[in-house]
Amino acid sequence: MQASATIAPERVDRPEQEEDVRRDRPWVTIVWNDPINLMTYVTYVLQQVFGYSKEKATKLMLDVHNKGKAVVSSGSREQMEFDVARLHGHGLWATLQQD
Amino acid sequence: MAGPFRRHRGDIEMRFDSREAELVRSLVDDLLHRLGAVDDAEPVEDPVLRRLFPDGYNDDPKAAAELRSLIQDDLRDGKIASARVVLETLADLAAGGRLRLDDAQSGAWLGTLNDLRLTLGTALGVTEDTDLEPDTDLEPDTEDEAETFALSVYHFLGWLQGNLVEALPVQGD
Repeated sequence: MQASATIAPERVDRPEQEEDVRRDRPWVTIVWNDPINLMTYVTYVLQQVFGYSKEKATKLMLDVHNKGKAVVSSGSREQMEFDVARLHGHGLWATLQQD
Repeated sequence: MAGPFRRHRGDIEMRFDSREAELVRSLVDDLLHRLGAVDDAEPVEDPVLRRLFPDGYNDDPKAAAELRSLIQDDLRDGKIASARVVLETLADLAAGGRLRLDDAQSGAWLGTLNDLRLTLGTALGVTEDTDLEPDTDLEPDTEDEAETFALSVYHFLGWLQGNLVEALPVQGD
């Protein structure tokens, strides 16, 4: 359980400088190859989730299939967490990391 | 024999015989049972559940746990809702017949078929080289027969899902 809401949590000093240095490196969402998801389904999901054209989605799917993984989107950490959640919702194996 | 899925006046249609409808229904029941055991934010241990609810970070367990605590309950509830839609659409097909799906129901079927394939494929340890139509003339023994049956179910689900993907309209085009 959470601690009582009447007790304000202590503020933790964050290492702001380190954050600043890392801020311009964008985050990326990666889809990993897996032996179960159908190629046509992966293409379909990339089109649905990101609105990619069939050509772009197919190229990314083939990269996943042939190279083992592909970067499918990039942006802020929050946006990439959102993308990963949507891809997990469709059963794709996706992670995010800083580029 | 089922299918294939076809578009008909905006809906997706497919013919199921009673055995196929019962097979999908029982697989979805098992899936719902499995999903019902998933806690909101607790890391899942079972390999099948780990595939359905993977970590969002590869090398950062703390960040992975935090993300899990934010998204796992919605993810689980979405899968449960889709599985229930599939059961509803199968309710009138106990004796076989024509399945008719609108867009939302088609989406639920697509997601649930994928969850069923991830579940069965992970449990079977399927690889890209797995022979999905194993030679059934081999000396039969009980264990082989069970695995051969499970592989044939996996093959059937893949055929269904592949067919449904082909029949669905895509937004990105």
